[in-house]
Amino acid sequence: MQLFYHDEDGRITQQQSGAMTPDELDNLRSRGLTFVVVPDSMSVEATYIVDDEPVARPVAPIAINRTEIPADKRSKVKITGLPVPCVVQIDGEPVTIEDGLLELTAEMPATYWVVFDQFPYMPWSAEITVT
Amino acid sequence: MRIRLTKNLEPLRASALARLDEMAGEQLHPLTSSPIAALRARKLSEAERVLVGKDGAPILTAEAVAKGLPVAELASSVVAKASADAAALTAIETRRQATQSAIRSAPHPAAIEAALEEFLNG
Repeated sequence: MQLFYHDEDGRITQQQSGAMTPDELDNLRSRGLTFVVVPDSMSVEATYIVDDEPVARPVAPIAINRTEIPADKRSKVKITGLPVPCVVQIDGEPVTIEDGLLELTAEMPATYWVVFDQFPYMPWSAEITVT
Repeated sequence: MRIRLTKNLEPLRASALARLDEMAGEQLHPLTSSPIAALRARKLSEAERVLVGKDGAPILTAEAVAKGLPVAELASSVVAKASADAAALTAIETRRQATQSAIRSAPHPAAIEAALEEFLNG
């Protein structure tokens, strides 16, 4: 067995493995700790807690059409399926996307990182190479 | 949403210029601020005295005796070595200046990296 401690949003904040007696579990609850008991096979990263039940974190249907484009200001990387709305980090800079679609062109050859990390969705990221 | 990808090159340039100075410093150290460099400077000073006929060249005198050479001949070789070191210093500084210029005018991150790489590889 393992314990998933979680916050009010259901985000798992700590994981503890090993057998525990009912008294030990009650003791933890009496100290105000919020946790659920889950099977050892359950993934910390892919799970969150809803109504005291472990649930698989949703996977946004994000798709990217290409990860390499020339720096010609016209060629596009299209990222679709982003949750509406959401915040995406582009090279660490947050950008709010209202329509689920991100179209990227480029004028400077470099490597760029696009990161989507919005709880409870599973994180998604892409490295875009501009040549 | 449409976004045009670009980079703010200024932090990259600043970092690259600092790295360049570090690399140049590593190359300059043996020629300028190492204990051997200090010794060579002392020997050059003595050599210049010897070559104008003055006394007071204990290091060169001892070395000349040990090698069985005339002090004047040794002094000439010390001056020649100092000239070679000065040329090496000049070459490093010339390359450093050229690399600074390349970094400041680099149009993208890869060009900045290429300038540093070129400096490093001579």
